[in-house]
Amino acid sequence: MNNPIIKRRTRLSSVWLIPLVAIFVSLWFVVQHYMQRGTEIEIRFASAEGIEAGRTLIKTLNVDVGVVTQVEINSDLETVSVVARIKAQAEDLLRQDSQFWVVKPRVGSKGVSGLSTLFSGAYIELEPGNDYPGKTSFIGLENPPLTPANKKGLNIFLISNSAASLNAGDPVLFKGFEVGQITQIEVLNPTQLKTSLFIESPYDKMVTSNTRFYNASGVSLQINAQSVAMHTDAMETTLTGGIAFDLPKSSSPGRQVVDGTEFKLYPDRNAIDTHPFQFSVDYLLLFDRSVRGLNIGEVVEYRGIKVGSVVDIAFQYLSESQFEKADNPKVPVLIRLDPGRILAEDSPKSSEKLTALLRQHVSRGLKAALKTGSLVTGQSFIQLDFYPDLPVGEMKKVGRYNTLPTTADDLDSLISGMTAFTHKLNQLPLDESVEQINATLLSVNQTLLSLEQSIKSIDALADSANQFVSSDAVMQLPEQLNALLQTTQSSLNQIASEDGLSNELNNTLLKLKATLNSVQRAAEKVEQQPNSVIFGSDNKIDTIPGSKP
Amino acid sequence: MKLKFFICLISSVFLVSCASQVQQTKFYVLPYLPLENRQTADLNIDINLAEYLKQDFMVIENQESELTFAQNHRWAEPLEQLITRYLSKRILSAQPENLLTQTQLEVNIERFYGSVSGQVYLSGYWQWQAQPEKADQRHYFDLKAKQSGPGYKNYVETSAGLLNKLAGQIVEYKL
Repeated sequence: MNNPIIKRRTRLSSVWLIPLVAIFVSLWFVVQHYMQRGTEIEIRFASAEGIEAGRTLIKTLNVDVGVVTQVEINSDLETVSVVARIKAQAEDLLRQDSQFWVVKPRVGSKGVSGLSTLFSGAYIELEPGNDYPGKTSFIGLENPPLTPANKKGLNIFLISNSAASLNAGDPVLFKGFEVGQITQIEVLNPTQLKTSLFIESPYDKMVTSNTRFYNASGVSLQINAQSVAMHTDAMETTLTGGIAFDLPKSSSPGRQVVDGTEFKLYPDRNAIDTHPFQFSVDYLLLFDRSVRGLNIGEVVEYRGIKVGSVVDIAFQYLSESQFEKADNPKVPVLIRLDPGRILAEDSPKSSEKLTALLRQHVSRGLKAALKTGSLVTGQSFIQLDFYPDLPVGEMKKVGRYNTLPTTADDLDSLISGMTAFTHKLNQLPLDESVEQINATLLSVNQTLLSLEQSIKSIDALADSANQFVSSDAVMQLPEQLNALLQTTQSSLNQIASEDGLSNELNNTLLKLKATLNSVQRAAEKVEQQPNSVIFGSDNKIDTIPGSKP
Repeated sequence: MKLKFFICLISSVFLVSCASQVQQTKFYVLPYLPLENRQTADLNIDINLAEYLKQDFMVIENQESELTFAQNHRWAEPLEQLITRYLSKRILSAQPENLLTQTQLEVNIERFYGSVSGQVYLSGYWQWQAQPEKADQRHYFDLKAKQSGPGYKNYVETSAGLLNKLAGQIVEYKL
């Protein structure tokens, strides 16, 4: 008989391997889940519009990197905290300067954005920064950042008195191309604003120390003594506002600027060319005549070359007492001269240099004169020139400005001179003079008459003498004498007669009177119509007698 | 480029306006009166014109009390001399016999102008001044005539006609 083979059984059945593997696998899953679930971050927003826990995604460059897990109101009752979980692979994106904002449909001057979120729902955009990673608490932006944090470019600050029609997001133009944006506008102090710009690379190289920024909003229309000019930049900036930059005419590019450089914001394109220099000196001109036709911004020339411009015309530059005390208060005109134009040196020292130079020239007869630039528009400008015939003026100090001596030297003064001349001519006692001359002529006539009578009596005397001396010896002598006397008498008669001397004098006087009349008419014509000196008088057609019976 | 064109256009318009033709001025005299081969007495006429007539522009009445001075139609010499010469010849041609030598005739003219309606006026007074202490009285006259047709030539002719009438009056009185 076979003995049964008794085998010793193993303690554990291999069936148990299955649950063991299952436990191991599930543990692996749990660990894996914890490993994969990523970092929890908190973002603060002003409102949770469009954000839903569990549904709203967090994306970077349109790739899902996380999801919102919880939305709750903060204890200040003004902000919300959005808790989100960022995938482990994207943890590196959570840097110190990373930015979050909600992408939703937006309509603005820059167009419509985020339309795709109409169907998909809003999502939170994460823009990774450049700093070191490891941050978990962020403050979300209300609007998308205007310039991406890692974009290359140049930040510029502009200082201005006004930021009319400028807004953050408005374009920055260079020769009509959009090369950047306004990122921020803030008030520095009650009179100054600071506008921050971002110029994108590679256009940032266009900004140099000689670059001038100007407000390119709207249309700038300027009428001056020389021309009528209109300037607009791109249609977009004309309508919505914007800033443009350029080099002033005939200016060298200058050196490259660094990030954060401050510039002055000019109100328009013209202002750049009017005052392209950084340093300028203001002088006060006191005119003792009307400055009508002179506008702010008008040029100041030295013998035809522009050296500055008119900055202001106002009585505020005269102190109150000066206005009251003066028996003939003058009109103050503030002009700005650019040392850069005259000395070719644009530095703080050049201002003092220019004042010293002008002081020297003023003592040699330099004066500022108001001149008519255009007879058509009546615009005037200031001209600096030497007037050696006039008494030399001096540079004085009025308020905080130095003054330059002034003079009148233009067509107006010619006309006013002519008016004064006409006035004096009118005041001449012409009638009295003519009466006196007439009286003189009358007395001359009377004298001549009495002379004639005298001659007649001499004639008679001669006759009697003839009779008296009727001897043959002296017969010939009286006859000759008689003949001589007759000749004399006829000459004198001729002088006394109508066609003689007195008539000639009368004619001359009449002509003189007619000439004076025509001078008066010409003066009146010039007074009524000053431009007739240049353009001639109107060619009127005379009334025809008997034309309307 | 456009601005240049614009400036060129404007300046040429100004130049063209400067180049426009000026109307020709015409000068007039009263008809000539020949006194050939005649011996006449001596006569002194003193013409006093109203102040507005003491110039060479022809005066035309637009409407009542409104006068215009014709810039382009003028008397060829001062009106005073023109009338003196014409009137004295007119009077002397009538050969008034009893005109005294050295006699002074004073004629004051207040109106001597035409009008757009064609009426020509000559008004004033005259006065013989035989001797200063025996001055004659004033003789006022107000003569009018319609000119034969429109125009300055007709006006001059009608004016001469009125002066003839005045001369007739003066001669008749003295005769």
